[in-house]
Formats: sequence, C-alpha cells, structure tokens
Amino acid sequence: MITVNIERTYDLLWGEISDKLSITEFKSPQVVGDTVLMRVVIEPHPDPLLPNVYNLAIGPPIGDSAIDDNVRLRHVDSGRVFSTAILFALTFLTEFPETIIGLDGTDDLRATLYHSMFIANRESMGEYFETIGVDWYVKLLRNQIDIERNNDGTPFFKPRPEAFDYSRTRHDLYRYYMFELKN
Amino acid sequence: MNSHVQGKIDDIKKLAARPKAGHVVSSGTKRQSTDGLSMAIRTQKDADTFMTELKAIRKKAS
Repeated sequence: MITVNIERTYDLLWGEISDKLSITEFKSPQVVGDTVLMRVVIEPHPDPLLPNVYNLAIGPPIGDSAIDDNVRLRHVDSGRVFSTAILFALTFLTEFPETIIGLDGTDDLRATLYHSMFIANRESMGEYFETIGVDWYVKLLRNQIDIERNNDGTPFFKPRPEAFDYSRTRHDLYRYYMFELKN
Repeated sequence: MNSHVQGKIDDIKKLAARPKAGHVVSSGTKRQSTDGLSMAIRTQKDADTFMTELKAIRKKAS
C-alpha cells in the first residue's frame, strides 16, 4: 500500500513550473543500495480539445524532459516517492487552479496503482484534492440489440466522469483518474 | 492548508523561480500523441460535454 504524506517528501534538486511544462527531479534510494534519479513531469494533455487537463508522469529521466515510465524500480520508500510527486502536483495546481491532472488508467497495472492510492489515501489526499474517476460507456441503440459504433465497427466509447466512488474496489477500476485542487 | 505544507509549496515555487545552471528544458518533447482519454474524446462537443461534467462534479463537491 502506498501511503501519501505530503509533509514527508524527498528534497527536490531543481524545478520549473509553467503551463507548458512543469518538471522536477529528486533522488530516491533503492532497496539494492544505490539511488535513482527520479523525474516528475506535468504537461498538457495531448488532446488539444482538453486545454485545462494535464498529465502527470513519474520515472527516471530520459533526455531533458522525458521519462522512462516502463522501468521497474524497487524504492526504499515508494510512499515518499509518490508523496513527492503529489506535493509537486499540488504546487502546480495552486499556481494554475483551473487545471486538473489526469492519470491514464488504460493499463490495468497502473489503474490498480492509482485506484489503490486514491482509496488508501482518501483522508490525506482529500484534504487538498477533489478526486475523480472516469468510466467509458457505450450507448445502447433503440433497437435494444446493438450499441453505438464507430465506422469501423468498434464500440463508440464516451467518457463518464464522476466523483471518485470510494466503495469501488480495485476489481472495479476506472479507465482514467483525475484530481484537482479542492475548493 | 496547514502552514508546513504551505511552506513546502512556497519553497518549491522559489526553487522553480531560480535560474537553472546547465539545465535547459525544451517544452513538450515527449508528448504522447494519444492516451485513453483522448481516444474517448473525438470532437469539440465531446470535450465540452466532458469539461461541463467535470465542472458539475466540482460544483457539487463545494
């Protein structure tokens, strides 16, 4: 279980905060004894139709602003790693309060991680954030048999956001996770 | 917000305002072309509906 405590974070080595790209780095001790440089990136959602939505990513750096989000790491304190990222996200949101941060849960492993993190830290995160879960749904056509489909026959999914439902277990994951500054 | 957390936020903002020695960041070099959400948002209408629903959730929560 990942425990988020934004009063207990790693020291940031440097940082930049802007509406184009926000980035910071810190060192995370590993179980095997060394430390790994970690980078947090908050950048606009790739869809230009969603100008106030930002994506958050965390992982070892690649180049000057990218991250490796596929590498498996064994942090000494995963909670502290995530707390550091969440604190940076909170700082970003206080600078740009109209924005909302999204976490893509398409991959089951990541969705489980985000879902569990939201549930396990309901109180600590709820102090600062509104949390939102997004499901996809498809419309049942009036013939009661078929569903709305794209031209290629695939289901026509639409997003349905709701206030994060804490009664949903990790066996009932959302497809996308979001959090924004609490009013 | 408690004063300790507010202090940490202020410290990060000060850190971010400092000139960076030897580190130049070009914005958005690794932007994905798509993700799960963008696959479900196809048109401006989809996006407007989605953002309106998000606003309604925020309003209800306040």
